[in-house]
Amino acid sequence: MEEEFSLFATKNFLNNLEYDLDQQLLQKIMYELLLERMQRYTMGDSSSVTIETAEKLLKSIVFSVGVAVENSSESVGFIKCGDTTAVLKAAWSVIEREIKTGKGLLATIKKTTPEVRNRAYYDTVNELTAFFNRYDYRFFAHEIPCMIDYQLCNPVPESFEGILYINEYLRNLYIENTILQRFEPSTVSALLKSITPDYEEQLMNILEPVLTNAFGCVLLKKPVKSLDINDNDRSKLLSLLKTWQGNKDMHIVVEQLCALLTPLDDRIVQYLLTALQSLFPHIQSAVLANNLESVFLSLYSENMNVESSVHFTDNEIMNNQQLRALIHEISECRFVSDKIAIMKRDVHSLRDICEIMNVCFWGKDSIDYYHTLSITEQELLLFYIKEKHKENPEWSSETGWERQLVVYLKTLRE
Amino acid sequence: MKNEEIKGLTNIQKSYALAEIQGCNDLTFAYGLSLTETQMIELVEARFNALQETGRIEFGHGVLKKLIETFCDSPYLTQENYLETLFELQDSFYYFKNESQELLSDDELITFMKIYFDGFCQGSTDCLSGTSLEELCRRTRYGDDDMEDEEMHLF
Repeated sequence: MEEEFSLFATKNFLNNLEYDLDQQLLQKIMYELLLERMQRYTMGDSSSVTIETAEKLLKSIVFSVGVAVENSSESVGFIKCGDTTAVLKAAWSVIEREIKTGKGLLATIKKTTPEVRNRAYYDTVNELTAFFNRYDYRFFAHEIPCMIDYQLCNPVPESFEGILYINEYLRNLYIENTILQRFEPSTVSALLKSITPDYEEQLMNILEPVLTNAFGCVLLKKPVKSLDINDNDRSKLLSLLKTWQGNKDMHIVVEQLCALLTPLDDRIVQYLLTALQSLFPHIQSAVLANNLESVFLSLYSENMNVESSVHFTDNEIMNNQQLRALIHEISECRFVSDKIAIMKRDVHSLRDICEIMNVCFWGKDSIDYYHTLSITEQELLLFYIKEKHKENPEWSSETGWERQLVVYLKTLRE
Repeated sequence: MKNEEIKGLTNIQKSYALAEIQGCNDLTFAYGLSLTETQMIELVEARFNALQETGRIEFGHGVLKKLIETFCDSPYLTQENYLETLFELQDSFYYFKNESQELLSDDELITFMKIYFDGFCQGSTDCLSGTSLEELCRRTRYGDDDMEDEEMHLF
């Protein structure tokens, strides 16, 4: 940690820029700048600061001088002359220019925000807006005073600091937005939903699964924008990827992918290549495990979910003669409790229950019967009514038991 | 920061600090107080030890000169306890400075210390260094009587 803040690190940093700078002069300039910044920071109220504050101020100076030397040819001359004020002014002018660029990038990002909702994405964009209000480049130019929750497909290297980090992040985010715009938002949502239904609340990158499936679609020669990969496709992909040629094949796939997503500029193509290269080890380990289900996902569909969660098979229904006899017996009952007892004893099919309800349970009688049913049985009856209405929207029973059931369940839920 | 760098920085500062307090004897003679060359060097060394212990870096004019100028008219200072008191005052200053979290300026803090030293502490550096910043500020702002009233209200 100490190394990081040291003036020797500063010298190495500037020497790495291959400028022939006298080390003693550089050290003197750094001291002078630190002294001047400390005095400004305390506004003359204090003759001392904590070591932590001094370190932060020094780190900011190192960052600023580095930015000045890299971006302004005059700055090296100022350093050689020992003109500290001019060095700092040159640095600030570069930083101000970067801030302006950053604000422009942020405005573009707000215009190209994907329609697919994700809390981390929106929180991060809000925080980036706040960054420009909080950023104090005159004292703490190297700091990033905001929370960046949304992780990019290609993370910004740790070596970037301050406004340079933010601008690099914004540029990468803009590229990701541009790529995502090539896909239908509903398709992207369906894909993300197959990872987790509450993907909107998760800390996850939107592009990563899209890119993986697009990569799969290219290999399968399927329409890229469909992003759909089923069980058969996964089997084909498994055999294809087992004979994968590494980097050479990756370039071909990226070329094909870019051709399908055209128009894309060089920077985006390079971004895609880097992103896929970083995703590939994950794919490779899935290939080794002979299981691509967690890598190449199938699009989420409501039907698929319902079919897999509810299965109901009705019992055999009574023959007509038996049913008529039972209806007669129930109709003769004086008390509802007797009717219910017979129902429990002799009726074992949903269709029979409904037939009997149609003619035997009048008014509030049906409510007493519903009390004796389990929640699943109540829901099944409701399902029967819905299906019946789908077949014939004008259907209604003579006794009105279906209306009573709807009212009963509504009251129960309330 | 590296030790070598701090050494380089402090050597320059030490020579500045020494030159600064050498001029203070002219003012303190009137109160019967003076420092020898050796004592001055000891004080400057102690200043840098205090800074290191409290994790602070001083720049420009140090605080020692201000402490001498403010405290030299204290009725509790004599030639016998002058050097020892300055050592203690210097340590207490940096301690309180850290406690204040940069919310008090040097001048404010020294004024508070002087009022407390001459008033409640009656010249005792042990009393001054044993107090908390909060108490120091309260007693200086509201005086001893108000503090006693406040303490009474607590029970």
